[in-house]
Amino acid sequence: MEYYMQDIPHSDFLPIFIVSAFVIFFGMMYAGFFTIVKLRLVKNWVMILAYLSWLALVGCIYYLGELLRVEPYTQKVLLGAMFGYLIFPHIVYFLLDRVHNRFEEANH
Amino acid sequence: MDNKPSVWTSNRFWRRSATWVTGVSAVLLILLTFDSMAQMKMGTEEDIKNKVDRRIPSPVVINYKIDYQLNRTRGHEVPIIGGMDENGKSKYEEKEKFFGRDDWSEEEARELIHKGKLTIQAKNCMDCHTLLGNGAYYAPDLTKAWLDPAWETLAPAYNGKEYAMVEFLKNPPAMAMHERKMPNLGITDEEAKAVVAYLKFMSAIDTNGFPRNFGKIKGAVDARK
Amino acid sequence: MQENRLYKGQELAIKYFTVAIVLFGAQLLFGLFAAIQFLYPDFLFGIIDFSINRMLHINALVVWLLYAMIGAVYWLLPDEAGIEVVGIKLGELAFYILTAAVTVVVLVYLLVQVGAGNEWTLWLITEGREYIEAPRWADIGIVAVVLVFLYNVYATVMKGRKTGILTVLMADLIALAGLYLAGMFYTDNIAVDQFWWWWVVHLWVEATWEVYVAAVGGYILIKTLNANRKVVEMWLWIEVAMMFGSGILGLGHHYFWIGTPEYWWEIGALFSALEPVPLVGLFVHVLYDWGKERGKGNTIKNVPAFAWLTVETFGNFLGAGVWGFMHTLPQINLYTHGTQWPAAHGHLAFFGAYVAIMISAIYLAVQGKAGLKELKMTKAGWWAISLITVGVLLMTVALTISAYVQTMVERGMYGATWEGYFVAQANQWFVQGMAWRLVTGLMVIVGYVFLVYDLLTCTKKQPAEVYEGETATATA
Repeated sequence: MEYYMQDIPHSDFLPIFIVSAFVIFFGMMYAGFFTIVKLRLVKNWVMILAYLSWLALVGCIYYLGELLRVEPYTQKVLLGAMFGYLIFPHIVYFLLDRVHNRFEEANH
Repeated sequence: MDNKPSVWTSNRFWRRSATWVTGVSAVLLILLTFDSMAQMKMGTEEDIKNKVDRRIPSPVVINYKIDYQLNRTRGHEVPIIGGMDENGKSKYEEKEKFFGRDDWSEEEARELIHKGKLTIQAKNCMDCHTLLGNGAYYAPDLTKAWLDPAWETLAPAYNGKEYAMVEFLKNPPAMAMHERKMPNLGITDEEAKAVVAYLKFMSAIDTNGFPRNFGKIKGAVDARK
Repeated sequence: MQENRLYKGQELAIKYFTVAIVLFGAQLLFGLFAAIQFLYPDFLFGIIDFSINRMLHINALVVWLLYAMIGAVYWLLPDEAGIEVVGIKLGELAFYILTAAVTVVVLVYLLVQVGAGNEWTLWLITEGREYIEAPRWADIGIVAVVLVFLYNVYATVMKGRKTGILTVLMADLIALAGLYLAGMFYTDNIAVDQFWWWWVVHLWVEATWEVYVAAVGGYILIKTLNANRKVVEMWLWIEVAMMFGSGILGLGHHYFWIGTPEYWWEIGALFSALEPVPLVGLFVHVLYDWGKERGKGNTIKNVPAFAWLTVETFGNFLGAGVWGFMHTLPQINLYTHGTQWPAAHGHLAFFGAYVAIMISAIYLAVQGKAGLKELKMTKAGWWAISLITVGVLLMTVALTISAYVQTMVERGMYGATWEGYFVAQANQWFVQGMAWRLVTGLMVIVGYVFLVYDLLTCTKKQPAEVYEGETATATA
């Protein structure tokens, strides 16, 4: 197993912390925009912002990987995270919608 | 909605999924724990004689010189016990006197670190210091305290750093090295000796390269170029 | 007369909540002392040293949260099961035994503080293991009390209604209690010691407690928003799957540097990436509910409880999500492990994930005790929630600045030696971070005073329509 923990120059610490915080922030923005568009609370074009947030997230994860000088295994994990973020809000929304429809519409 | 609800809205399906996910995770964790426990078992004198590296070596390492050097194949620092060979591995040869002796038997050494660990817990060391990086953040990390260059400067005046450390532990405010003093915790001579033995033993634990670049600036051990 | 409306179990819950709030105060007090010592090391030196303040700070935290958690279960148990708690007399006895034991332990911590380096100290004074310092006699006492509690829960559910929330709680509580046993033994091998220590600490706060919170959160949603029970209960199972799925093996991120095999790096990295999963799920869920409920004109039955539940959602996301991910990958954790990073993360995550929801549950009990159909937010209540939330948030920011300086100077430049440690601690930015932490800590304490005042008086300070609605329903 080749797993070489690379030296990180101390000038890289700040960008690492900021970029990793933004990974989660953009992830939430994506999930947030996505959900409110699906609920028809805002106009449909806002969906563009959702996918732009996701693209920003991809950029952040990529840059984070560069800064951390990650080896192939972590690269795969980070790639997985990019696509996981893309589909996960879809899954959650789909399930919520199904569940609410089944149990709540029944009362009408 | 049709009469037969889909699997996605079936309470039973999700209850079973939750149970399965939890069960599989727990089983994996238990299997990994068995493996880790085997790898983390404390080594014996026999291992040292046979030059077998153990993550947690036998306490008789207190008889040897301990070092912390970059290992090229593993890509991080590892503890080096009793000198390093050309492949960056421990030779288990070079001895170092500890309280005037380098022939502590396995039994004596185990007794010493037993007392040391009990003292470390009894005095709540972990609520100011970190050990292996866990604990509180009010005082320096003790993982590699035995190798800290700060002790080297004090060692000559006390005939060796272990004696300096014992003097310090018995009455820290008297030897205060910083405004943020360590309090006097009533550590006896015997307890102090045991704690120092534990610190030396702990510095030989393989921590996967934590802490990184130990003593980088002051060139404590492996001043990386 | 109003008291009669409560089950005996709910009266016991109020006792647990009362002690919880008192211990919350103790947590803040000793935290304050410790924060002062970071800036003025001579403060209380030799009287209550940092180690004692810090131990009391974190032990009070864990114990008050456990009190509140037990309390919340006693509160919802008879309500959910529809019957009085079975074996309530025993439960009451256990409460007094536990409280007496906690008092003795705290007094010993304060007056005896440390012991000689032998087994007696571990049995009688302290075990010296962060978070679970309680001496072994107290450990055994805790186990006995928890067994009584589990008996109450199981016997009541067997006899009464078996709701989904109770089923999840039953399974979760047994795991939660069982895990405590992993932290009760002694070993000379510090790596093995810390390995099992994390079983207790991690599998509590990042697995079983999370699931507990999801179950109690579901109950609070039903009570405050009239949420559909079937939806809540089904969603609870999905959350259990997400939380245990990411949380149990997430234990790996504590096993990078403590003498453990290297494969934990891979496991830790993978599950670090999976950890935001339940948080994203929760976030989408909350937005969905909010979006669907909007405009329906449903009133919130208990505004303070609901407000604290909202704080919990965002606090959990920021504390566990953002501040967790900032230092969880092994490549960066090598430099942040053992610095102020975990302190920054811990303050916000504990607050966001647990403190907020327990306060929410306590407000539910306050409402129930007064027998009000509705509870509105009072002025004092707003001050409490604002000061505490903003205080903890800013404290986390302050600690983060200190943490960044410590990582860069001590770990990046000096390499974790005694000298590197103190050079970093003396850095202007580090010291300023610590100063702001003290200021924000005082903010939280003022908020706590408002909170206590509000919990005691809010039912008497409701707007007129709340009482009018009450008399209307009473006469109807």
